[in-house]
Amino acid sequence: MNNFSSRSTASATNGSVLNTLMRLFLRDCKHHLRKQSDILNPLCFFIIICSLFPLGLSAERELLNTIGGGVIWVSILLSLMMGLNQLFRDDYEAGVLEQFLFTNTSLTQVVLAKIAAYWCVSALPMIILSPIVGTAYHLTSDQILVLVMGLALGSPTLALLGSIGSALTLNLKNGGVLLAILILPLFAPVLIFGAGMVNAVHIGLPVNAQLSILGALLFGSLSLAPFATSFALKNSLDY
Amino acid sequence: MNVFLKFYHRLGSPREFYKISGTLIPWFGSISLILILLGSYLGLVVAPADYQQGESYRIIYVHVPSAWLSMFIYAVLAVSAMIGLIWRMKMAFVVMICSAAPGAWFTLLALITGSLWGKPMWGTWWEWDARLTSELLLLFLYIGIIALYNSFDERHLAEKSAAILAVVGVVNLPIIHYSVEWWNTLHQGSTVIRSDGPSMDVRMLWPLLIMAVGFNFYYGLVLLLRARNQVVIQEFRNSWVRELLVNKGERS
Amino acid sequence: MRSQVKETDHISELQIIDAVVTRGDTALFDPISFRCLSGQIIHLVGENGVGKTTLMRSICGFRSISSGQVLWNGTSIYGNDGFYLNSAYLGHRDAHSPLQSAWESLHFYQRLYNPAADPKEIDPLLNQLGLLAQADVAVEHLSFGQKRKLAIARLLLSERQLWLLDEPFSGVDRAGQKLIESICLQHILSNGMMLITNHGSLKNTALLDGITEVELR
Repeated sequence: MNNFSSRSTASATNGSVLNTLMRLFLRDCKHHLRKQSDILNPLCFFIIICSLFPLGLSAERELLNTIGGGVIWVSILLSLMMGLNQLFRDDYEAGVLEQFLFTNTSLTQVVLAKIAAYWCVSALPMIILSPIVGTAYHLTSDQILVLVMGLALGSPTLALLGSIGSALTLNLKNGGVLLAILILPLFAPVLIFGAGMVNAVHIGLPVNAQLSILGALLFGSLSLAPFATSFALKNSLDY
Repeated sequence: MNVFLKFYHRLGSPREFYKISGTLIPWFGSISLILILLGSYLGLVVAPADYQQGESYRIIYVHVPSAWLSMFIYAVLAVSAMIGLIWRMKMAFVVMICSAAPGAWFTLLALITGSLWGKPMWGTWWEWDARLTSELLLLFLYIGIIALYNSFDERHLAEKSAAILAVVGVVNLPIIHYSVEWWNTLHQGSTVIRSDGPSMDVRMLWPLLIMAVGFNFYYGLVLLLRARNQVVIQEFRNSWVRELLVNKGERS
Repeated sequence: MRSQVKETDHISELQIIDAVVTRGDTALFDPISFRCLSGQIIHLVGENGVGKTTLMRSICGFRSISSGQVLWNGTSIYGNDGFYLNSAYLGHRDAHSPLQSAWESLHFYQRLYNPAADPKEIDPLLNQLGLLAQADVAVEHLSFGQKRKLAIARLLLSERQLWLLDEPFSGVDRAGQKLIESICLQHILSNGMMLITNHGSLKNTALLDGITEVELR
């Protein structure tokens, strides 16, 4: 059985916002760790897509170097999209989401904690693995560095924007496909700048502009997306 | 000023809107027909051939206004979504959802005509040109809104969800546009559609503007027709709708 | 048994005035009005599918009513913290995360409801509901009735005055039912109040005396 060891060490705490966020975050992380498919599925999907491209095209060095940045970015994007479906579904179906309305914890905090946990569990392993995959695509170390930086800045943005789509399609029958249609246009800018950086480095162009824009997109979505998502969540509880 | 405010107020009530739209529709219909015919004549017959592209450039008289309309309609959609969310006006949501399909069609038209133009220009049916790619992503936004709206059983949920998506989309639209522009400049060359620069001949510009305004009135016509239907469907439990249907039944 | 309600002498009132609940554009039942004061139980009665759950969720504020008012101590419930922080809801879904243990689930809610509370109070609570042996069992392995009793334990933890219960007895065996009845009775006696839906009558239970039936048609 699972190891529920917190029982003996738990104690009373204060209810500050940071504390609540941390607790929610840890709870979601624990949930993902117990349900290993949350971690393994996106990771496997990522590796598989990256492995299929050379098989479908050719293993020629120059070609792989050119497409490497884009392929890695697209496969991470698709893997994240897969996981976004489940972002709120478990708590929604258990009936936990609606209980938050009866507490001092706002849905916005819940959303932030869930996205953070989702990112740590899904995106972070992929980002850590990306240098290895990058090497398989014959990317230079400069390119790999820029790839990882771009992913580190861009994947939280993808998670934040994707959470809006996830919340909007929460209780719909054809939610999965609809989610993909909804968030594809939102993901496009992040993809363009992130993957574009890798090729820019190869040509020798500076990437400061792209980095700044990715950073701006991150901060923009960090300030706006959680509110849109919690609004959409309240909409989904209306049944 | 007061007259305008009162008029705007009247539009907000479904019943009044129905009456007002009834009188407006013939006007919109005839104006759009005249303008489109005029613009087509001026563009296809009167305007001179382009020195570079010959006669095949003439498709811009459909392509460019469609593209302009697709963006204008999205702006209308997003603004009415915001009005509906903030002020909870029923008519705002009606305008929003009735604009979605025309907007999608204009976007599709822009894509198809852009592709048709591409064949004589670049020799291929599709190029990942900045405008075409932006239009493609815009089409996805429209389809997303329509699909999301139709996935809900309850209309008030459908409206709110579609409205949220519309607002999120409009915030992202400039970002998407800019990023696609930037992405496209990396692959510069003959793929840029040079259609509406300031160097355009006046005789080419006028038909373009006339077509654009004509298309605009056409959109207005379609919006009014669809909104009328939508209002009747939404309000069918109200007595004024029943009277209306009874009267129409008696007359026919 | 420790006191189940925080403020034991404050009289509160939940008032529903001419509420009309719609699904699609159809009103589910005639406009309904009733009052629930501290110490009272309102039992919503009606045929299957008439809309008891929908009404319950409308009173919780998850969906809006198309006309009428839902008032808590005279103020509308919408955006009213006073209502949301003084009520607790038990719906069709038990609100336990399946991968947490019974103890963990209660601990999670305890920290949401009352951060300063002592976690050591959870074991006696589990004991009261006959779930102490399942304290470390994952919720997904509990029986339907056990999950329901765990949900009642959550309500006790909240120490809230108003309980909104949507079919609390479903799936629970006779003994469990009697246990929940006595807990509900204790809640009423401690100045709590309840809105309850149930399959079948509550007249043959311990709650008989406190109940007012409101019919939806």
